[in-house]
Amino acid sequence: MESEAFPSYIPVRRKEITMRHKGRNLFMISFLAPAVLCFLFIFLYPTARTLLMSLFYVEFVTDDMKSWTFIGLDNFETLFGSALFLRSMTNILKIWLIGGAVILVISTLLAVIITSGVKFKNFWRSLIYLPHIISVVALVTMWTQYAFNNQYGLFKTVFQSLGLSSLAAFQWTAPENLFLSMMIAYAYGSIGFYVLILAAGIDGISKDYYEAAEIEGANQIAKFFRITMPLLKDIFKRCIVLYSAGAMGFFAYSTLFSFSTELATVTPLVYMYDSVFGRASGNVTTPLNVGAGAAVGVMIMIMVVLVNLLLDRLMPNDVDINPNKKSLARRSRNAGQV
Amino acid sequence: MSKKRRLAMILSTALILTVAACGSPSNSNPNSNANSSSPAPASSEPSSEPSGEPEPSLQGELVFWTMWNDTEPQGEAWADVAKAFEAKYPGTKITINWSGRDLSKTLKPALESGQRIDIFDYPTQYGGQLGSYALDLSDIIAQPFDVLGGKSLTDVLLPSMLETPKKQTDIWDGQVAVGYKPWLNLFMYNVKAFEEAGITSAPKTWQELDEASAKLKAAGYSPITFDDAYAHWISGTYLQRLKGQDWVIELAADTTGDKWRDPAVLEFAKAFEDFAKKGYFDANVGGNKWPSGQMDVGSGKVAMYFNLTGLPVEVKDVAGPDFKWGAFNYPDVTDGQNFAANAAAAGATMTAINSKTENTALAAEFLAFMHSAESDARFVEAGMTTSLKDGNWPAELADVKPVFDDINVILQTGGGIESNPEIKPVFSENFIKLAAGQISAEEFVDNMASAAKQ
Repeated sequence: MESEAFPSYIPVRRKEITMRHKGRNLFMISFLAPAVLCFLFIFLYPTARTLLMSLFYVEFVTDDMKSWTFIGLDNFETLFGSALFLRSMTNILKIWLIGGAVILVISTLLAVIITSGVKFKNFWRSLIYLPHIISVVALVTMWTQYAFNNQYGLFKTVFQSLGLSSLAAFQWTAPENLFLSMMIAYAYGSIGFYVLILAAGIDGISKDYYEAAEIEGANQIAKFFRITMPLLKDIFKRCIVLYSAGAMGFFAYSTLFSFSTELATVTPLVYMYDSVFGRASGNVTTPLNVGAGAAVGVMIMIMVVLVNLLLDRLMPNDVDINPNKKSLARRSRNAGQV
Repeated sequence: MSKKRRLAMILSTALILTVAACGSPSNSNPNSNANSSSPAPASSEPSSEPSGEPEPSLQGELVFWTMWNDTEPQGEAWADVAKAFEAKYPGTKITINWSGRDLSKTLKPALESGQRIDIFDYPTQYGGQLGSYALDLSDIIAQPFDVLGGKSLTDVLLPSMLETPKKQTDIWDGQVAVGYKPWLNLFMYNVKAFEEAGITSAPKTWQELDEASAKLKAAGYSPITFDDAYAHWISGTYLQRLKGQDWVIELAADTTGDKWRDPAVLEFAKAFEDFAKKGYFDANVGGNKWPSGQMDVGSGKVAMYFNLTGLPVEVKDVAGPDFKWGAFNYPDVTDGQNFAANAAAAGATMTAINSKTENTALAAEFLAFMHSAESDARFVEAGMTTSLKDGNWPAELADVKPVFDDINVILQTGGGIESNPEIKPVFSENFIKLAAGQISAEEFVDNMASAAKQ
């Protein structure tokens, strides 16, 4: 061990190095402490409190802990006995799996087109990104009231002018089609973000690979699957992680597509909101169950962890430093200190 | 001392001072983000103006947390009322916190933390949770006030303004709050459409509604529409009329599916299936997203919409100033509960006084002032319904007033179906399909029985 840390060919005094290490550690701790404390306070405390809250009956979210009633795992039992919560889990699975696949495939396709040497590249990139910076409220209002509207909406008008009467009569916002409509709007608002990331990734791939492939006679499809895809693997993984995190927190589109909770649009976060804050309609208010809401939060946390574990298993990180390089790097660093 | 150390000391001192300044006690300014309704400075000193020497108790500041935003017409009306109060009682100041609808999330923590709040709009979401923070107003509503012409709040207010808060909070001992901006859940209709169709009196029974709808359809109108958000109101209320509210609440709570097989449910579904087959529902009810349906009423395409009495305000930009509204209570059904004469779902926005307020007399005076004829007229101008027995009704709502006068039994919106938030979305979805003609009455019953079974 000693010979690896302090190579024998470098004459150093052990005490002096230990002192230096201590000084460096103190220096690092003093710089890291504020960030670590902030992390503990902002993330760890609410997480621990939510975990605890999920085991209690709590009337209101800010109630003092003294008024909480311990009920064990009853809140989780309530969730798994709730058809509405199970429906919300089905919806979130569809949003994550099907929605994610569609959005990332379309984003990849557009990113490849944009980086393929098409004219006005920056214009197209900005145009595709534009919906992402529009407020979700404005975006959904536009979709529900002006695009999907069953009387004067864009789709109805266009299909009518094309003589496609059955498509023109399609009720985009009827209960059975509402999920599809919501996902179209969500994809429209999200794709630009992933196109931007993927296009930047493709731009970062050396042109040499493509030129060499062309000389070897590779067509566009071969170049995409043999060069672009493998080299974009890490970027893809990041996109999937980002999409997954966004999907698990799916809330704004649901609440904007549904004035009150609906089967087609309910997600775990909507269920949690209803449980924690209630929902008033006329003179009726849904009963509050903050503990159950916290249990939903715990479920979402578990889902996010599982998704990340799954991604790590399916798409492991590339090892970019081999053991020899690592020892070389360490040796040169130690040498520099002396 | 080195230059670096000196600089570090100066910066540290500056930082400590900044932090100390940021952390000054909140009670020095009870509401840092509140917008004053008036530029007048906060002061508990008597006004220097010679006229209108106020009583010592009617001085000081009141902090009012409201559910309105200052940019809404209702918020603007509140700002005007507060200004008028300050003008009438020199030396007073009303500080309004424009919490908006987030009041239902922020009020309780604020009260619990002891933040200064003297008066607040009591959000219905809290039910009875704020009971300990709300002063019992029993004595205040009985005492005479000059601004009410020497009458008490009990004398001038609609009886429902005192009863509704008890029902909405489920606190029946004492008077937890006083209502304003009352509403009823009624069939709102286009008077012009009714006249053109030759309908001379508003329907009182389901049979009369059927006949009226037929006439409206013949006259070229879509008789009835609804939006997704309120699908359970027009449907659940039928069941309430048929079997009573308690029965509907039991139905909603059923976990066996058997109660949904009750003949009454099929009878209800058949009634709406019949209306759907006759084309009484607008062709777009299957896909209406709020507020599409109510806009169709405002535009004159559809004649009736079962909603709250605030509907005319919501669609006034589409309806225009000449649109005349009528209203009738949900009709009675054959062998039903006979509710149409005097029972309806009703509610109101509520105002309460904090039990910990240090100036109860001033808060009571402000409560009375908001129900003075002058203030009420300002609220009505902002589109709110009057809370006074002798209040003014806008001309376009003149036909709605008699229905208000008749109602003295308060029911739940949606008939009670919303008592179970698990079943309500399933009920709404299946009802929309039923009214759109996508499923039959039997399929409706099957779907509901299957969904209720656990």
